[in-house]
Amino acid sequence: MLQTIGRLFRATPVHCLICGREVREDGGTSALPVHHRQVRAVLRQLCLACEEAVPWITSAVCRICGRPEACPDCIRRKARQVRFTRCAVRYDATMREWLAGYKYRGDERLEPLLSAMLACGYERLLDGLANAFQPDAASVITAVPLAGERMAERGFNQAECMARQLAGWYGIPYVALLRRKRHTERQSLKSRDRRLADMIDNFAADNAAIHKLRALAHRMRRDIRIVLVDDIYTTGSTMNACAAALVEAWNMEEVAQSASRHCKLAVYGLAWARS
Amino acid sequence: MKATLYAIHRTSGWEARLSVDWPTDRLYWTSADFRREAESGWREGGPASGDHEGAGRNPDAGRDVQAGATGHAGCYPAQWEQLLWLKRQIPLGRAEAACAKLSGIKQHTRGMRWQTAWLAMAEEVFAGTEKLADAETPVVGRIRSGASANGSVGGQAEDACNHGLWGREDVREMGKRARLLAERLRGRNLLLPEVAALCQVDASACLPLLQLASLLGGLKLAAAVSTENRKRPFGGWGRRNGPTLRCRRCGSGDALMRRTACATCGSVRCAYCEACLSMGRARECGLLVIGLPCAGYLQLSGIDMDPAQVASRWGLNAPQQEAALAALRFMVRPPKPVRQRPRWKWGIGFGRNRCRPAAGTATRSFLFWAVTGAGKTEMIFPLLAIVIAAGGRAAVATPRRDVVLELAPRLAAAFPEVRRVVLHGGSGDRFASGALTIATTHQLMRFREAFDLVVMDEVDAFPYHNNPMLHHAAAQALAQDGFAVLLSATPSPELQRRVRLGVLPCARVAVRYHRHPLPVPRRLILPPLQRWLSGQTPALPAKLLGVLQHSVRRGAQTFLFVPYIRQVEPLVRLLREHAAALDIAPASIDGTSSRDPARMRKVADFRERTIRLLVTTTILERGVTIPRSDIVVLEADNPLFDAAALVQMAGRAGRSAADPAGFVHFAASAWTRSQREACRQIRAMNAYARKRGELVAASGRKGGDRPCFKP
Repeated sequence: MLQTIGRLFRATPVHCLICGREVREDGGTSALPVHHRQVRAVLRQLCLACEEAVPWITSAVCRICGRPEACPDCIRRKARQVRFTRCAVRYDATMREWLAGYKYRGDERLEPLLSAMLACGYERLLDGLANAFQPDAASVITAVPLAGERMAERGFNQAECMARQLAGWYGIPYVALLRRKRHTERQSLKSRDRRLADMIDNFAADNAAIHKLRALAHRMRRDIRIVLVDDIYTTGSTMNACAAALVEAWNMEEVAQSASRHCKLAVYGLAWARS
Repeated sequence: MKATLYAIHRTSGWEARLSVDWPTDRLYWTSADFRREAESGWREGGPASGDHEGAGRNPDAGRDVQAGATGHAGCYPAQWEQLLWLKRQIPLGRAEAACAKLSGIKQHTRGMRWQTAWLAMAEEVFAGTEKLADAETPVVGRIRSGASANGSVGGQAEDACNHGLWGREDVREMGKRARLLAERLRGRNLLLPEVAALCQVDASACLPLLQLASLLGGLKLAAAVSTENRKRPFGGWGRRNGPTLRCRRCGSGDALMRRTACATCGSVRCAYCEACLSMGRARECGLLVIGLPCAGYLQLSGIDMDPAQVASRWGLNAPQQEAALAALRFMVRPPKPVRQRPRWKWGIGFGRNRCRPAAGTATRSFLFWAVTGAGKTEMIFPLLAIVIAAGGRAAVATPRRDVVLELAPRLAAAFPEVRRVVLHGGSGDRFASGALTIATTHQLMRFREAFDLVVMDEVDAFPYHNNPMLHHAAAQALAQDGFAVLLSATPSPELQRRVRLGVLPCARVAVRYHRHPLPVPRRLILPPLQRWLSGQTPALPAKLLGVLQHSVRRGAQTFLFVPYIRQVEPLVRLLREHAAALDIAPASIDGTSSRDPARMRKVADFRERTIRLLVTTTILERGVTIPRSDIVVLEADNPLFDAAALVQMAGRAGRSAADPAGFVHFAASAWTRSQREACRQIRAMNAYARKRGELVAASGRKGGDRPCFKP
C-alpha cells in the first residue's frame, strides 16, 4: 500500500538505455571520463552495471593511435597522414554487442549514448593536442563516408550521426568532406593486408567543400584542423586513406590559391572503439 | 525504399495503385502480350489442382483461395483508358498514404473531380517544387490507350518496348517464378531482406517478381509501418487527431515508433518500430510482403473420436483425458456464425466497439487451466494429432527458447512421421515449412494466417504478460476459423474473467498426474532479507536454518527463491558458512540467475543431486522438475512476486509420485495480498479436485510431519 502511494509521488523513472532496468539516481557514483555537462547527462542514463561495463580508454599508451597498450602497428607504418588518433573505448564483447545493436540492428535509440561515449575520446584528443603544443587552429568535424549501397541498406551512416551529435555538443561545425569512390566489401571480413590494399584510393574529397574551407582558413589566417570520425579503428587504413584524400585535395587547391600557402591542414582521427 | 504512385482509369473508374517496380507495372497494364505471357507462366508455376489443398479442406473455401490466386485474370477485360504516374519515386509509406487518400475520393463526375484531386495530391507530394498546370507536366507521366473495344491492343509504343526488352519466354519464365515465390510465401509475413534471404538473391532482384505476383493477386505488398488517419468522434475532445502509425508486423502503435532520418527513402522523419526491432527493422519505407493465407476452413466435424483410444494412445489419465476430450469436442463443433455488433451510425463508441479486432482475432480459443505438474504437454498431443491428420497445420508457441529446445524432441517422439519445423532466434531452417511448427512466440510474427491450431504455452508468463505484441503475433499467425489453445497454470485475472463470463471455454485440470493435492504454502515470518544478509555481520535466521535442516534431513533438494540477482551471491556465501550445520558439503550449495553463464550446467547438477541447495531468481520458476524438492521463497512480500509467480514457485514442490508432498514456505515479514491470493488459488484447486473425487485417498499430511523450527 505504502509502495503504491509512494510510486505516485516519485519522479518519472529513467530506464537504462541498454538493459532497460530502472536507473537509481543515488546509484551513479562511478567516475565518468568526460567533462561536458550534456554528455554526462546522457551517460547518466545508463544503470550502474552497464556503466561499469564500459572499458574506457582513459590514457593512451600509443600516442599515435590511442591504443591502451604498446602498439606494433604504428611502428611498422612508415607514412601516415593522420597526426594522431584517440579512441573512446576498447572494443570488447560488450562494446561489440552495443555497436551491433546500433549499426546492424538499427536501434537508433542508442545514438546519443554512443555519441556521448565518443565525446570521451574527443576530450582525450583535446588533451593530446594541449600536450603536443599544437598551435591554435580552427576545427571542423567530418566522418568517414559509407558507400552508397551500404547507406541505402542501413539507412544511416553511424559515424556521421555520431559526429553530428558531437559537433552539436562541442560547438564545432560538421562538414561533409568525403565520399567513397567505389563499393568495397565489409572491412571486418578482410585480413590486414587486404584492408590496406583495398583502402588506397577509395576515398575522394569534395573539392567544393575543401575550397570553402581553404577560403575560410585564408580569411581567418589560421590553420585548419579536421577531426575525422569513425566507429572502429582496427588498422587505421581507412582513416589514413581518408586523410590522404583530404590532404591531397588541400594541396591541389594550394596551387590555385598561393596566397594562403601558409595555412596548414592537419587531420586528427577520432574513433569510438579501438580493437 | 521508394515506390511509384500511379493511377489507372478503367471501366470501373479511377484506381490509385503503387508499385515498387514501375517497369513491371507499366508493361503489365499497357502491353497485352506481356500480360498474357505472364499469366500463362503464372498458371504453369502453380501447384496442380487438388494437390496443394489438404484432404479435409472445405471445397468452397478452397475455390475461394484459388480465385484469389489468379487475381485479375477472371475480371480483366483490360479496358483502360489512361495511365497516370508520378515520374519521381516517393517514400513507400508516403505513397501508401497518398494511395489510400486517393482511393477514398468519390468518383461522380466522370473522373474529372478525381483527376483534380490527383493533381492536387501530386502537387502536395512534390511540395510545390514544380507548379503543375495539367497532367502533361514533367513530373506526371501519362499514357492514353489506343485500345479497341475488346482491349486486346495496347499502345503501339508499349508493345514495341515489350518486344525489345523481353522475349515471350522470358516473360513466361518470370510469371512462373513469381508464382513459385508466391507459393513459398503463403502464410508468411516477411520483410524484404527476409524474402531476399529466402530466395537467396539480392533484394533488388526480388522486386520485379514480387510486384508481378502482387499484380496477379498472389501476395500483398505493404509498408511495414502503416499510417492511418485517426478520426475521433467530436473532433477528439481535444485529443490529438491526425495520422497514427502502426507496425503491420507486431501491431505496436504510436508510442513505440521512433522517427529518424532515413537514407533509404530520403525522408527526414521515417518511422521505425522499436518493439519488434530484434526481428529485423520494420520501417515506414520498408516493404512487408504478406502472403496469401495457407489454409481455408478445416473440416474437422466428420472425424470420430473414441475416448478410450485417445487416452490409450497418448497415455493420459482420467482428468487429462477429460480435458483433452473437452477441447476436441470444442474443435469439432462447427463454428458459430459471427454476429455483427450493431454499429453506431454517427461514430460514437468506445474501446472495444471501435477498435474491432483485426482479421484472425475473432477466432476460437480454448483454455487449459491445469495446475503445475498436470502434464499439459501430453494433453495437447491429441489436438495436434487431429489437426495434422485432417491436413491442417499446427504450431506450438512457447515464450522461451529453452522450452522450444526441450519440447522439440518430445514432439518428435510423439509425431515421428510428421514434418516438423523448429524456429527460434538462431535456428537454421528459418523458411522451411511443415505440418508442425515449434517456435518461440516472437517467430510467429513472421506468419500470417498460416496455422489452423496455435498452442500457446504459459500465456501468463513473462514475455506474454503485458505484451500486446506477442498476442498480436499469435492472433495474426492463426488462420481464420483457426483454434487458439492457451495453456496456463495461473491464468491472468483477465482470462479468468473471460472464463467466468463464458466467453472463453476452458477445461480445468485441478490435479497432478500422480493425483495428490498440491502442497499448500506455509507462512514463515522472517525479518527482511536486507537486514540479515547485507549488514556488517550477516546471520542466517534460526527459523530458516531449521527449515533447511529439516529439508536436508528428509533427503530433499531445496529451491531458495530471491527477488533480485544481486542477492544470490551473498546468500550463497552465507549458506556455505552454515554448511556444517546443514550437514552437507559447501560445494553442494550454489546459486544461479539469468546472468550466470554456467546456468545450464548448474541446473543439470541440481537435477543430478550434486547440488542440494540452489539459490535462484524467478528464472527457474517454470519448467524445472526436480523429483524430491522443497521450496523457500525469501522476501515473498516483494512486489516482484505476484500471485502467479508465487503459485508457479510453489508448483516446483512435490512433482513426483514418490514424494508428492514437498514443503513450500513463503518467508517474509509481511503477509501480502499476492501471497494470500496464491494460497487461495492453490487451496481452491485442491478443493475443486477433491469435490470431483480426483484425488487419491486422504492426503497423509495433516500437521503430522511439520518441520521443526527449533534451531
